[in-house]
Amino acid sequence: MLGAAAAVFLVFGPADFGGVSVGPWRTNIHVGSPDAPDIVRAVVARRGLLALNRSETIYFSADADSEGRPLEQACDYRILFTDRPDARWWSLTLYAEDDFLPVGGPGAYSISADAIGAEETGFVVSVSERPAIGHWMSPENAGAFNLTLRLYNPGEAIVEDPATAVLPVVERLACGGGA
Amino acid sequence: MKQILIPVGAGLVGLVLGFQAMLGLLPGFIMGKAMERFETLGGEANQAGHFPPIDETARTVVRPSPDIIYSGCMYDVSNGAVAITLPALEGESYVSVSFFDARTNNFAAFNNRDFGGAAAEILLHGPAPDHTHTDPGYADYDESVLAPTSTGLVLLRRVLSGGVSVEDADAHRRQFGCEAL
Repeated sequence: MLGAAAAVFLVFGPADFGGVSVGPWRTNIHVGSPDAPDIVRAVVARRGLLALNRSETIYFSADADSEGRPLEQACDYRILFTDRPDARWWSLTLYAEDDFLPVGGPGAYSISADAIGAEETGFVVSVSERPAIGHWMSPENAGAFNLTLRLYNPGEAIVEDPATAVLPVVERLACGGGA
Repeated sequence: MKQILIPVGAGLVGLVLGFQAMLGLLPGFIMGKAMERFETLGGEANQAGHFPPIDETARTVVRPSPDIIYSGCMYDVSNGAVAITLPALEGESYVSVSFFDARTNNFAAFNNRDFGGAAAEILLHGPAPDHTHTDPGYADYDESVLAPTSTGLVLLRRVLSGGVSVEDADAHRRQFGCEAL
C-alpha cells in the first residue's frame, strides 16, 4: 500500500524524470516511446498525454525563468529568440498552473511561426498582464504559469540530441509593478 | 536478528512490488479516463469525432494547443482492422495522424509530408490473422500499422497556419476517416 502511494505521489507530484534541459526549458526524450521506463511513462501520461514522439514533435516546457525563478502571473517577462526555432513549424503557448489555457483573460496565450515576419530572424515575445506592443502573451489568471514550445518536424540535430537546440532566454523584468 | 530481518525484508519487497504495480497501472488508468471523456463528447469506437477549436474551455486533455484543431477516433481492432484516412494537404502546412495504445504509447505517426501531400489510407490492425497493406486485397492502402493493444486512440492534428481560416481548416480535417472494415 505504501509503495503504491509512493508511486502516485511521484507521478502526480512536481518531480520530473528522464528530462533534458536547455536553460529553463525541459523536454522528455521518452515522450510517446514504448521503451520508456515505467516511471517515465506514468509521468508523461499525466503531463503529456497524447503527445507525439520526438521525431514528429518535440515539446520544450519551462516553468521558471533563465535564472531559475518560478514563472509568476504578477511578473513581466521578455522571451528572447536569437533565431527562429529549427523546425518545420513551431508554436509557443502559455498554460495556467493547472496545465490548461488561462480562463477569463484576453485569450493571448499563444504565438506561432505564422506571427513572425520574414524579416524577423531574432524576435522578442513579451509576457505581461498589460498589453504590450509586438508579440505578446498574457498570463492573466494563470497563476504560476508554464510555457510550452512545440517544434513540429524539428531539425535532425535536435531529434538526435534535444540538448543542442537553440532556445530562447526567459528574462524576468519586473514583478507587481516593481523591479 | 533473523526475527527482525525477515519481516523487514518482506516489507521492503512488498513496498517495491506495490510501487511497480502502481506505476504499471497508472498510464492505462489515465488513458482510460481520457477515452471516457472522449466518449462523453460523442466519440464512438471506430468513428471519427471532431473536437471544437481549442480555447480556454478545452479541458479534456492537458496542454491543448490553440494553434491546432483536433479530430479523433477511439479504435477497437478486436473484431477486425480499421481504415484511417489522412486528408490530403500540399505545401508547408501540417496535418498528421498519430496512434496511441491503451498504455499511452505513441506507436505510429504520419504527416502530410510522408505521402507527398496526397491523401493516405492507413490500415490499423491487430495481431494475425489480420492483413497488412502488403497482402493481396489490401493493396489500396498506403501503410499498415500493428496496434499493440486492441483499443486506443487515433488523433488528427491540423495546424492553423499559412493564413487558413478556422472554417477552411475545419472542413479539411473533417475528411479524416476512421472506419471498421
